[in-house]
Amino acid sequence: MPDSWPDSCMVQVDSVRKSYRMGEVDTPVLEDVSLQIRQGEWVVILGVSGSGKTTLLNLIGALDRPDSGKVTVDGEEISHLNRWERTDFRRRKVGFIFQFYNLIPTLTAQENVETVLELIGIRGEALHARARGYLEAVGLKGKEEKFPSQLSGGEQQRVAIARALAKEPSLVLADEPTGNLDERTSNQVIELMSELKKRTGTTFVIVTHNRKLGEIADRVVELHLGRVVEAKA
Amino acid sequence: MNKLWLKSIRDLRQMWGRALLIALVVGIGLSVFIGIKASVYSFVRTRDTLFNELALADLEIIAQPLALEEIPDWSHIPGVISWDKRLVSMGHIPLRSGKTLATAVYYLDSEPTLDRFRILEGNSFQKGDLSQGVMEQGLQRYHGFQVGDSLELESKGGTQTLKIVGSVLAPEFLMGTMDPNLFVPLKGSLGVVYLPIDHVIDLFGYPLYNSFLFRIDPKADFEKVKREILKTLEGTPIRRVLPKAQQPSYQHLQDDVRAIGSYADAMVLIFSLVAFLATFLSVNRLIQSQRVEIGALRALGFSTFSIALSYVFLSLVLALGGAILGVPASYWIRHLFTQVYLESHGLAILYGWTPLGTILKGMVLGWVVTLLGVLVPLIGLLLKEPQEILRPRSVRGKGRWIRGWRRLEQGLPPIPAGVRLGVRNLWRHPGLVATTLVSISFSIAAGIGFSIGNNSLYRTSDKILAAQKWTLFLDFNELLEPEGYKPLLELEVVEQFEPYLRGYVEVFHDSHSVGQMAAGQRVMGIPSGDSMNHLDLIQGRTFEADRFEVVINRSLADRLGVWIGDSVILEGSQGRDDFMVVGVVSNFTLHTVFAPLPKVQSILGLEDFASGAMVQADRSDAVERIYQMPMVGGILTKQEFEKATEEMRQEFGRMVRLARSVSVVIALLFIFSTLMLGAFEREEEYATLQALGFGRTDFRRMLSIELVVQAIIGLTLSIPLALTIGDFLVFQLNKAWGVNLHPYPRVTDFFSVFVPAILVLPFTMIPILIFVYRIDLVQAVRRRILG
Repeated sequence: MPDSWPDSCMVQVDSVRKSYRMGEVDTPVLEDVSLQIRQGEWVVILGVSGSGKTTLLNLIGALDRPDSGKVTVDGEEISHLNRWERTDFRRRKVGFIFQFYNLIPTLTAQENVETVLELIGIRGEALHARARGYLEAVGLKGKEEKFPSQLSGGEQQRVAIARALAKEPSLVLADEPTGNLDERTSNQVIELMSELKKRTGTTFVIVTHNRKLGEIADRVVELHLGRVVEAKA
Repeated sequence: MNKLWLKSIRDLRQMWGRALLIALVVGIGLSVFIGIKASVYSFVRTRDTLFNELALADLEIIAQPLALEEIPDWSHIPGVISWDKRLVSMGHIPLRSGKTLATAVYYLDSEPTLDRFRILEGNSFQKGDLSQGVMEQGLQRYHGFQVGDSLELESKGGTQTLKIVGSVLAPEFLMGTMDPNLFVPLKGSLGVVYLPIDHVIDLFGYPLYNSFLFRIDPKADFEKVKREILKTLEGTPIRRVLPKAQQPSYQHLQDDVRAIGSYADAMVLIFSLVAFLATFLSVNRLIQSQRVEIGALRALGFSTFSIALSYVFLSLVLALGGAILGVPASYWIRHLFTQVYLESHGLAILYGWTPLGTILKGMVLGWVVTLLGVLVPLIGLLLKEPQEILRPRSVRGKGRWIRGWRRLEQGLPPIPAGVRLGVRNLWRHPGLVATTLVSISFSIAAGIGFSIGNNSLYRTSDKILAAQKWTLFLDFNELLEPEGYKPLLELEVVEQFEPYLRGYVEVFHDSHSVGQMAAGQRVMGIPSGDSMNHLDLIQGRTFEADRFEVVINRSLADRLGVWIGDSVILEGSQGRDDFMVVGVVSNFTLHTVFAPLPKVQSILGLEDFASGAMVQADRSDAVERIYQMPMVGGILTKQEFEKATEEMRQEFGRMVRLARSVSVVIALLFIFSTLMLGAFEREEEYATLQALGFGRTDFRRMLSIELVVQAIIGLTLSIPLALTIGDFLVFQLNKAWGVNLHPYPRVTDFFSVFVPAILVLPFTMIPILIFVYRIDLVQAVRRRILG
């Protein structure tokens, strides 16, 4: 942990640049982005398509590495980690919620949650109990044995949220969590997340187009053409 | 270019790994198909080219030696295109090992016009030079004589020292120089030398000839021409009339090419079936992976026909890719098979030939299989409404499989996540996995089946060898009456003695349906059916010594269309008799008719005569003692016979090992392609798992379990399949070579395939793991996971 790392800081993004190669040309996606997220803070990143919000989320979640600049999460600098060190980091510290839920189709709802718990070494009855508890918390009591294909889109996203929260990570990252849901289901998921915010002290970074999610955030960060243009409480 | 076709090409570029894998599967199938077929064509071409180039005579008549003025001019007989003459006599060459080699000596006027020879090294002899000779290449190959060496030739004219000035290949000895009179055609068992006729003139004062060769007009009635020729020789004792079809080298090559062609067809059938399944499944999965795109194209208004056509185009491109890989590889397969054949048969030259038609046939076959793999799932998809196709596939239908497995899992100790996922993946597409497993087991089973065939050959020949009661097979220098061979009986090393008489007869069968059919055949008279020479009966029994009964071999039975209970006529130089066929023996006996000794002596007009004897003599000095007897021309020991059999079996074994290796490679490719295609299909899932923190150990565990489960099931299923394929191959061997093998599966046959397969198996995981470790997480986690 850096000496200057404040106790209350969960994510520190310093002058990060990232570009992707499109054919012969390097296309900048993030330009000199800096951002700090406090522990337990809910941050929503808004922006139009191509503004760089998912790229920023991927850098914070150690799915990718910046071209320059630094990303520090929970006191751990992750910008220079190799692929498998980053995997280890994600296993320990990050929960992911994806737009398309990304549940494993051959596992039941409960097994999908249990899989990530096993990765952090939880075994036996504790494993089952915790998975059941989180599924109940997201309103899926009685649906533990269902396979993803037997659940609605909203229910699948709830399983994904339970999976992200169950291992009690330092940080949960959500990429368009309502992007694939109808308005009603989307509202239900937002309501669930709002409740979770009250009940857990987990830091959330949510990337979305959905301004309604902004309503539950502690802070909204808006990106435009790869730069932070606005950050408001 | 049509946009859909363009899309197909771009799709292939994008999915190059998958496309390459499919092309590889198609390519292996193609290479095996074309390679084995081309091997057989190469043998046929070699046979035809060499027999044509070296002008193998259509007919050879061996008679008592005639002086020049006694030889009729056959040019006037209609149907005779040309003829040639030579003197053939037997002699011996002492070898460095101390043994003597029976040697055929051909005395020629000049270079022959029929049964010509090709000079492989050195030159032909100089007319009039009595110090020179030319050797047939077998002397070089099997006995180490070199051009420039001297050899001692012992013949009726005494002992001559000859300088070898050339080594030649002759059509009569294409299949290795073998003594056709021997019980088993041992390679190198006959030496052949060509000398100028001046030797005969030197000995007798004038030339003599006893072998007359004829080129017969193919449009002429062969039998009529033959009768006309023989009529001109009335009063001259004829020792043998040998049409081309019965010339030992020609007949052996003809039978063998037919047999190997038939066995090769069985191999091609098995490999093609395996390749068919592999290709079909791989292409099928490729189409399934494009399901959403196909649905989208349908939704956009593209007709089912235009979509189908673009996929037909895709199949053509994949098949062409397979051909690009497979056709060059087929030359390598052909080389491997023909090399094994060349060495096992002592064939000196091979003309490799891959007919364009076979390449095209292989390519069309590859395309048809690819097309079927494309069309079967595609038609299924195109028959659905676009929204049905676009709807994500679920595992709901397979839920009961997974639920059933879950119940079982719950009764087990806790299973790590990676293992659980690996096993569940197998239940994801149970039909597909089951078909893949059957295919894996089929290719493994094919390898074992080849081993079983090989082992059956070993065991059966061991049984035949063990049943032979003789230890030495003697050939007399000339036909002997009992008084002549009595000294042999008196030798204390001889424990048991049984004379035999070998000669040539015409065998006729008067069938109601095919008319009278005849075949020139070797006949062997032995004292009783329960002789020291064990007969390997396919069916029936041995003959009774006092009855007109014969035992014939399988290929003759097939040729004449006779079977047990039928009667045949044996016509020798001095008589003919009706015989009943009481048993059929396997072709190990090489076209020999076995009949009671007195009956054979009678029809050959050689009452009491014997041409050799079977002897039981176990003492170590027996061969040496017997060789000292002047009447003994050649001795075949049982050890030599066993050695020759062992060589033959080992050479066949090489072909089997080759086939087995191809099977194992196909099986491994199968497992690899299944896992690799599975990895391609689950890229998003693997990316998600990595995003959630799945590490290298978890992936290794997951993929290993898939690999191990597939391997275990595949290997288990392969056991009954292997037994069936083994039976089929033994049946094919019996049918092709007219032998009487019984399937003898051994545990080692299974392990000889299982062990290499298991050892190589872990390596198939390496490229899959590399793929998984290199997945672009950022891209893949944002794609929808399809069940």
